[in-house]
Amino acid sequence: MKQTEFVQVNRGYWQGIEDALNRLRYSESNLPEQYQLLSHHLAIARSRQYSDSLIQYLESLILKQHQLLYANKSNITERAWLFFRITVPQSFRNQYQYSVIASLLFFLPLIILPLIIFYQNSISDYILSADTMESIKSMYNPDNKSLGRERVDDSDWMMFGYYVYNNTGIGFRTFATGFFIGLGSAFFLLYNGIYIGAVMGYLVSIGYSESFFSFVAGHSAFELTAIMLSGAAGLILGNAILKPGFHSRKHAIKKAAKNALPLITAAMILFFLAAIIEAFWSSRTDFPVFVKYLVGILLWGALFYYFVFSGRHYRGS
Amino acid sequence: METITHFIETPEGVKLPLKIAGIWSRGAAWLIDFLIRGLIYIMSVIVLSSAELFGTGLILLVIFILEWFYPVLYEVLRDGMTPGKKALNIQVLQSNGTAVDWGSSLIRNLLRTVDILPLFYGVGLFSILITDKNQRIGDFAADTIVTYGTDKSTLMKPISVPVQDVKQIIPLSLTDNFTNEEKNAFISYSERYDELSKDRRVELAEIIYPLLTKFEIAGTPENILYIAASILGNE
Repeated sequence: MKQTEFVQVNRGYWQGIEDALNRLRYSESNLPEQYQLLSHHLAIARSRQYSDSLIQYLESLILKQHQLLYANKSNITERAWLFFRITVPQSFRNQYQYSVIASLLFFLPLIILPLIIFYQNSISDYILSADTMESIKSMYNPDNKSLGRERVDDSDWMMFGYYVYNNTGIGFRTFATGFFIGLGSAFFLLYNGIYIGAVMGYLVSIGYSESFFSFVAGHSAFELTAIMLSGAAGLILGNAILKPGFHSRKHAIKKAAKNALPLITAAMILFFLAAIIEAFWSSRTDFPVFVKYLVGILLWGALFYYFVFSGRHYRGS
Repeated sequence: METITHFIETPEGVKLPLKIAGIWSRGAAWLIDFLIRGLIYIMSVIVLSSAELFGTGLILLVIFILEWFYPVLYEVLRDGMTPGKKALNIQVLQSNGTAVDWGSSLIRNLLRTVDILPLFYGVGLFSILITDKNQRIGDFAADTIVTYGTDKSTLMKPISVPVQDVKQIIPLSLTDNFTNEEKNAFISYSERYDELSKDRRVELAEIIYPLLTKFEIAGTPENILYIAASILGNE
């Protein structure tokens, strides 16, 4: 059979498939059958050396069918639920080493610096500029009507936007720069740990503990954990570049990104939740201080429970 | 620069070629997206700045989404194409030819942070230039490629031969003397005939004439069309 006759016989059939693909209303039941027949036509066209344009036309139709046939058709909400319910906490536990290292880099200076500053007040002068100290001093002044960054009425929404934009952005950069054998992530973790530790130490040393801790208590669990997880995800990338093992670096980075994805996604969600809490809850002073501490402790507990116990009984996700 | 072809093999054993997009198409697509994002930003500032602090918060959210999620949302929800990519007819795919998923799109776009370093996508450009599938760091991590789209490919019209002009009778058996490559030259010429200018028709035909004169057939574009038609089996 020559090409023209072959085209004449099948033209209508191809046109039908083309229309269905363009309308994106593909009848699922016909797809495998049509995919097979079209692959058959392509094989014929190739073996009989029909013209390039005909072969390209058939290839383009088959590629689209291939994408439809192998698209993930499972329900997105169900997949998201399973991802956060099982994949995220399991992946956190399966590669806990990275979170341990990230925690050491971040939480160690954050906890130790305030202790040092408590005994040696002048240390904070080396870390924080005079302007910074002046501004945080006025932010957490116990006489303020609202806590944190100076608030005027209705500024909660502005702060919410700012926290999402700024904090999540920092988290994303902490993750991505882990590509440089982990150095970027390590830098951001240390830098933020030292900065937050110095601020905490300074405010405690000038006697603003209650206003500071009652402000940060609510969002501390989500925000600090999110920073740590961004760093841990970045260290996974960095480790793949530094020690690809038996894989090529190209393959190692692909695998590492897959392993880091649950952690950075969890960090992203936690940053978002922390921004909501920080903007709309932390700054409120119309609740007793112990309620604010209680909420903070409960959220730390919830997060601990989630990462340690969630998804334990599911195997293979 | 020659277009790179990356072959994928479907589980059914069909080998399909994907044409890997080059640096200029990707750059142009990025520029279009950059302008669109700038426009959205300016419009949101105009609309929202009247809403004072509430508006400022929303503007910051808009900036955040434009910076990090504009490409992710388009790539996943619009067949791997941001508006810029759509304009350039290029598309993000997994390297096995299937549509890009949420996780991969997020990874490839978060790692832009690395690709834009130290200036003007320096790392990304370098990576695209030295790798065989034009992948930047984000593409490696997400296992994605950027390909030229195929949606403009349509079935060609049958070749029309101006029969009246073919004075000379060419024996049908003549086509058996050509190799497959030579036959393809006739067909490719004929398929493009309608879109070529008059001068270009003659110019390209002259490349094929030696094949005709070998069999003592006059070298004319019409004769080429006639032979192509008989190879294809037109009446």
